[in-house]
Amino acid sequence: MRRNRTLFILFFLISSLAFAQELKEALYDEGFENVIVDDKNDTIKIFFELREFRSPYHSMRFANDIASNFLGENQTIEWIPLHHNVPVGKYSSDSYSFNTLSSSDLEFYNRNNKPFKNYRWNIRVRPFVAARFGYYSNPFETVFDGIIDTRVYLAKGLSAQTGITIPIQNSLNNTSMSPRMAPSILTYFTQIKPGHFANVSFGTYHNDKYGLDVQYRYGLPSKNWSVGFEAGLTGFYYQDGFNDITFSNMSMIHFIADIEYHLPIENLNVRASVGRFIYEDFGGRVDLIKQFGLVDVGLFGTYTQNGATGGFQFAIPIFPGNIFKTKKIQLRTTEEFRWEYTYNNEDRVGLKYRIGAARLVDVLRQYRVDFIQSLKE
Amino acid sequence: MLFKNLLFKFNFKTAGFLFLVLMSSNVFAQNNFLGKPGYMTIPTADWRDGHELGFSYAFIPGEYSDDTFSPGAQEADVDVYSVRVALTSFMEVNFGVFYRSEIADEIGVGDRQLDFRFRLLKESEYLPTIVLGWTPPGSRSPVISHDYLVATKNIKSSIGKFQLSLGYGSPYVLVRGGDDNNFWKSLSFEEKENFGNNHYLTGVYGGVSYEPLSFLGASIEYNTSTINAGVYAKLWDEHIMLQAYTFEGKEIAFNVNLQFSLNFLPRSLRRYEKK
Repeated sequence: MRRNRTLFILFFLISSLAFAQELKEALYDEGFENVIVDDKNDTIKIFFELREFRSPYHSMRFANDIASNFLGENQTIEWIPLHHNVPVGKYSSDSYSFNTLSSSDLEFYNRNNKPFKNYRWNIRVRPFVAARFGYYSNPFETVFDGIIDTRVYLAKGLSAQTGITIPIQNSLNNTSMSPRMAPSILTYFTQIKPGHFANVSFGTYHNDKYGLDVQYRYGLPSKNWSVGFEAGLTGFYYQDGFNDITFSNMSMIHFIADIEYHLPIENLNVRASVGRFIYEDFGGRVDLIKQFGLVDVGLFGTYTQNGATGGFQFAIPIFPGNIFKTKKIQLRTTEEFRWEYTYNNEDRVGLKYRIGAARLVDVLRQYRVDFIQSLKE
Repeated sequence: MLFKNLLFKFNFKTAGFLFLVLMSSNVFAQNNFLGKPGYMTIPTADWRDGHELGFSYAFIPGEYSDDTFSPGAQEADVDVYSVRVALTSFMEVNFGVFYRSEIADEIGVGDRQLDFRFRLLKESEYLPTIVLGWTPPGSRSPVISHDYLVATKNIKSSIGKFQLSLGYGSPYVLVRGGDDNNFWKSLSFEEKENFGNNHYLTGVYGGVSYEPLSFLGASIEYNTSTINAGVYAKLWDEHIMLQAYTFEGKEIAFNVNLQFSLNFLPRSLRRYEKK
């Protein structure tokens, strides 16, 4: 009798291990990384990162599709999406309801997280576009670069991003047309306590800026409010090819605090920001941002010491997404290309620099439960 | 030369958005030269759900450029490029650039215009759709600004579909003065007629559109400045609209529109779900 029971337990353990392994492999084959399955309790918890998609809704829907081949009818999963190797929270696979992570979830993750082993070498292709209207001699002044870059995880939440910029067209400024190093940054992302997110970067950014960039945000994905700040100590740099790089002093300070509210109307968000922008002008900005799912479109108005302006922005993934992937490497187009149009030309009104990765507020907006659940309907 | 230029622009736009068009859902479309739901030059209250993004190119002959906008300015052919996004089921935003290549060295890229449409009333059996169009103030030379209220009613009959529109365009416009430090104080109301003798959409305007076939239609309109008439065709599951029309029977103009939904899935997910 006892022997039978031992055999049964052994069989159960082996089959559950096999199930976990098979599901893990199936997810990894479709592009999911750092897939960690915790099936010790009634509810299976699965940690994962999918860098190809910008919205966790699409990642979880994809994961649900794959997992449906392995699960019984009434079995549910708690998906734990990761951003920059850090778990954000738990979402149930059926209703996408949200739960914060327990200390045992985090301990389990920390024990099993393998930043090198569990990730592919992920190579990303993205465009960089800057444009300005209005000069009589040349009405459309544009910069168009192709960027090939990669982000490598070094430890939990700690990553390095670098790559090369290949200038394709430039009628806007005097930046060299030689290939050069793309914005290269060392980033630490963390969730200090549930809902308290911080992202600290040091490196070179777009818009000729380099230095320290700090972003903090408080807001649980289940709440409609979030508050945060962006601050930085930066200077300018100029690159001519790979060898000739000039840095100015890192002496400019910016600090912008904001509050964002997810309106209960068709995935609209209102964001109000005040502070000192990167050209050290005090003022404020109001954004209205619509989330369509894969695409965000926003309108804004800015009023600072340097004047008033307005415009629009959009964020889209670049087609086709995955180009190819093997067990060790993935080549893909960027999950997010963001572009902002400002009505005025050269006046430096309420400007920000582009980091080369999505800003914290734009990342966390995708995790809001209301938004995710609305896409499910 | 003009034809080649236009053909290139058309090919460029078509190729660039082909992949997005392929993802889009079925739509109905007749858009005016600004890329907004409308006839040829007038905006209507037509509202189409499920195709939130539109791109448009329009050609306005130089002879009539000052009858629609830029009154008093030098006559020159106008290429109008615009993009339209329906942010919600009741609010749309439209951005247009009015490029005049013949005088670009004098005026640069030309005028730019951002405006909104708000749906105040949904169409029902007896009531029309009512839309409020609004251009936010801020321009020092708001020659393309227009603020209007318009009603549109669709009527089905045994000989095809009719659409009637009647609107009122504000004869006043908000102009921004030179003082940037006092933005609100620098704004002043001016009569459009006094601001470069602009008669476009100043008062009661309207038009009729008739679709005898599902892909072909004709329309006639009065924009408070000119009377225009034209034909349009809807192609490729109605993702593309081509329209040719005449200003007062004297000059030919045309516009091309692409429209599609913004509600689509990432390609890898779409492919997996198709399996």
